[in-house]
Amino acid sequence: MSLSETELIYLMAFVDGQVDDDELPEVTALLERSEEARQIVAQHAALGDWVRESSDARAAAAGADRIAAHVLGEIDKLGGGEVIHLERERAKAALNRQRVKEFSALAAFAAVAAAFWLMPTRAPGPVASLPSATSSPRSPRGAVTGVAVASTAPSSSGAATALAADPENAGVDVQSVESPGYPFSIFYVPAATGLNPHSSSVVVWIAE
Amino acid sequence: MTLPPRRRFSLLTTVAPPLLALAAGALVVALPSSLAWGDGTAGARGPAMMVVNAEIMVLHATETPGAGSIDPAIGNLPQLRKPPMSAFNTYRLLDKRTIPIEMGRSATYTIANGRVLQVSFVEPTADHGFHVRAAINQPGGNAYLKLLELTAKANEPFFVAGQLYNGGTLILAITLRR
Repeated sequence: MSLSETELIYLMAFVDGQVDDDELPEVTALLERSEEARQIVAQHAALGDWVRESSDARAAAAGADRIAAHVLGEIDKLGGGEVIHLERERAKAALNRQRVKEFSALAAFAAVAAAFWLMPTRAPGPVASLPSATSSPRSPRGAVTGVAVASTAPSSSGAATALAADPENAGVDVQSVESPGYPFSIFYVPAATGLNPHSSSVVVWIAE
Repeated sequence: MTLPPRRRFSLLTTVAPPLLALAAGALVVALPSSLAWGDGTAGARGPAMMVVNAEIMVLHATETPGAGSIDPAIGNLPQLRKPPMSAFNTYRLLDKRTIPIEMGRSATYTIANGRVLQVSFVEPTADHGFHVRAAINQPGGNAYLKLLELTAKANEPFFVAGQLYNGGTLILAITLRR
């Protein structure tokens, strides 16, 4: 091969249509004076045509040329596309953010107002208030709902053994026990029956 | 690109008034019921002659060799098989009585050991239960149970246990029914 590397590069660029206008006369002159250059251009052009045709054939076989038509067809079925103006959309987004902030402020205000009105009036139920009560069965409140952790034998201690009873689910809720002279225990037992299987019943065990 | 002229939309000027009105309405509706929670007498506004039926079962609990048994007449009381009452394996029904009690009144029942059970219906509770007091006295002696005050939902039994009787223990199962 008598052509230099630079000339080969120019010839390949010529085949690909990438030669600048100021370089074109030089390449044209090369093609006029060199049979080898013309053969190379012809070979590269043929090769390029084959590559393009093969690629097109594969794309056609895969249906690639129908993708755009399919997408546009689906858009038409939905009533056609809509031209979106980005500036307008950005302005709408900013306005929506402002609305969210305003609504959040209103919701917070409403929540505070509701809490202010409701909380002071939602007092607990009647409170054990016997002056000589020997125990306060409602405390302690355990975290376990309605499960008795009592021993299988009744306790003989004087203090009440009040076990967890969820006030919402308590079938029976002891408020006060007074049994002077007799030690007693209080057991909350899951009822496991009735309308509310989670509710509890109570055993007040007074030892003699 | 210049935006087309549009009216400024603000929640503070358009949506806020209806929302505030709605919130105020909700408060007006919620306030009376919330006050009722606090005074605990909402249920007392019912019929003037409210009556609760106190079903009293007197059970005799003993520890017997073997698996033991529960008198079928007792019915379904799974609490008997749970602590602390599972300490006994045999239960017999000695008596069963249903006593109607008017609100604000008391009723008495004489237990097999001679003591007297007194049950008072104080008032209904806001959750459709009953606020009651109970006491067990013995003639000529100190009270065995001076006071038991509790709230119970309908059909949920509570138990007063521990009195020694005839080699075993008496257990009173009291169920309040409408």
